[in-house]
Amino acid sequence: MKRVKVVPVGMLQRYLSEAVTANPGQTVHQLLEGLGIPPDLVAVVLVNGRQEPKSYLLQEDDQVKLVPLVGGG
Amino acid sequence: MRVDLTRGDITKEPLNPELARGYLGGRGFAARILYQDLEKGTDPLGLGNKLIVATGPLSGLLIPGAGKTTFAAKSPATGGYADSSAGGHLCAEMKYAGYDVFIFEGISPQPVYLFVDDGEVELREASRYWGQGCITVEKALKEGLGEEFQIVTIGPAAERGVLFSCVSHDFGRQAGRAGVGTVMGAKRLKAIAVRGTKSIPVADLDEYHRISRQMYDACKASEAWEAWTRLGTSGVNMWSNEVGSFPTRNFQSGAFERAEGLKGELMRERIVITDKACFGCPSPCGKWSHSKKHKVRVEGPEYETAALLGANVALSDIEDVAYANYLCDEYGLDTISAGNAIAFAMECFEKGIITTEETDGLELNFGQAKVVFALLEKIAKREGIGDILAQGVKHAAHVWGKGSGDFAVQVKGLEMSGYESRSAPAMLLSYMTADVGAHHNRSWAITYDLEVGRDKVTEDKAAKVIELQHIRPLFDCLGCCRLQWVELGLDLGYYPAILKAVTGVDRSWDDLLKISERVWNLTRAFWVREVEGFGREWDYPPARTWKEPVISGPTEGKFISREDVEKLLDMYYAQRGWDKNGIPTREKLEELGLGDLVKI
Repeated sequence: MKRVKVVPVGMLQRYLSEAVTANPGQTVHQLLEGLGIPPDLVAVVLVNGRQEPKSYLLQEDDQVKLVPLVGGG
Repeated sequence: MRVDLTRGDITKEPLNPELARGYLGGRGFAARILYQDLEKGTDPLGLGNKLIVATGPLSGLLIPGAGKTTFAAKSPATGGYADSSAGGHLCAEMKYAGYDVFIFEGISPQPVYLFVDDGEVELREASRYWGQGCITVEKALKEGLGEEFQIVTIGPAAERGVLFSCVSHDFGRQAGRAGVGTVMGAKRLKAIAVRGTKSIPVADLDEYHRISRQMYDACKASEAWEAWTRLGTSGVNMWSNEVGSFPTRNFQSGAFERAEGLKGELMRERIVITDKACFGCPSPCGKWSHSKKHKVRVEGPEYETAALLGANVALSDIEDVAYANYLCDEYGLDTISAGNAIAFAMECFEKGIITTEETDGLELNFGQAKVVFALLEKIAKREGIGDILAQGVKHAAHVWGKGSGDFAVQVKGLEMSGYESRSAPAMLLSYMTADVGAHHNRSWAITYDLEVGRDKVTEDKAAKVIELQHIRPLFDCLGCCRLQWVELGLDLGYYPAILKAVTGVDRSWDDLLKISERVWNLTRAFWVREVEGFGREWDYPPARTWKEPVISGPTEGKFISREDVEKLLDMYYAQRGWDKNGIPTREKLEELGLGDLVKI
């Protein structure tokens, strides 16, 4: 099975120190729970350069960036 | 440069080195000048008020985001201190023309604009522009003077004294809050046009180049760059909705059931034409959009506009929000306060507090785009119900009564920006204590609430708010944007290093934070001096906060108790070195070097 690449950004590296691969067929929300990243701290999920909701079902070869806010808006 | 609008005199003065040492620039300059120069009890719309337009020591240099200009005055909306910053290119052009600060005094007998072309400065007659919209006038001045002039304008709302009128720049950037545009309108100053062709001296050119390059490289290398450049602030619309902080139907809820229509990606694909950057910015968050439905082009909508003129009035079509944004930009209205005012009127109508008799026959139902557009026009023109709303929700609640003050969502008379905070005490405390009223730019602590537990009311939350209230406004003293830090995670250690290269003065990060604390205490002292009886009760949020739970969404049923609100203030005042009424102590003022200046 082709894997999903997951890149944590900024403060999220406290929960996931470096990029990892994950299985497709799960939602972003499930992925975050599996990785121990609080979903509320992920401001933007970018999948292949496009913003997706946390209900998005991961596909093979997806490149996922998890982006937080450091100090607010 | 000092501009006496009453007499038409313009004088140039050298920058006071003591001012630069003690207050850095931008907001720091503004706070010091307003505190020192304004007489107690100055009428915000009268001859005595001053409009300060200030750059910072980093403005106009090759530093990420160095395009922020501060506009400040005594606020006609709150009666207290106000500063509001705008991105764009004005501060760079001011510096190239050789000016750090413009101070506008008095009231012009007729509409004028300030023309600045390097050393050539004059007040020019502007009657032909009076009554025209912000964008229209900016375009006309650019066409007449030349593309390289940077222009600031006000719109019809400011001319008519709408208390939340903004200053507009660069076709969609605003110094929006607390009525700084209203002060400019009262002075009959329609516009400012600046061109500069000189350069800015720096103390150590090689070091400046070296650090500047590192800062840009770090921004471009940030993994977050792609997301924020693609989406701008609209990237957080859905997140805010997910965590229950997206103000909905006048902050009755923090989640909007039709928020999908406002999501950042949809906006990008449906209406955004291109990205738009301020001076020196490596991560352009501005989105230049085209609504085919309404046949307008507009910068935005930003997060705040999607929140307050979207969810808060229950509009879910991004093109309708874009059109409301366009109307505000052209009339010169702050979208945050305007969205609050309309939502407040809608809730009053929903509850039967006002009827079609008070609304000029309009059915003020949530979710009606045409009603929102009509109310924006009425507010800008101060017609009928618009005249009441033009004075803000606190005033409207006084007029309409019947308990409506409980849900007039404001602090100190300034309408709240876009975060529902009944289940986020640090964010709520940020709003309660912000030094212009309920605005998020001084401290934005909601992610801290989410990180450590959103219902906790603890000392560390007050400490976090104070920490942010020193870091974030520091950017407004330096004259540059905070978003490279906030969004891209740019290391804060770069700022004292590049400031040293530019000015030749070595200051630690802690020194800079001390200056920011000095400014914070000075703006507090301004409130104490200017507002009769100012103290603790001025920091209270609207009573809805403790009387009514959130009605839907992930925080449904949540609210904060009155006791916890008091506890937040007790912790905050004690940590700040203020007394139990929220007044800076003499000891604290002396510690910050304000002992001689501040007599409260």
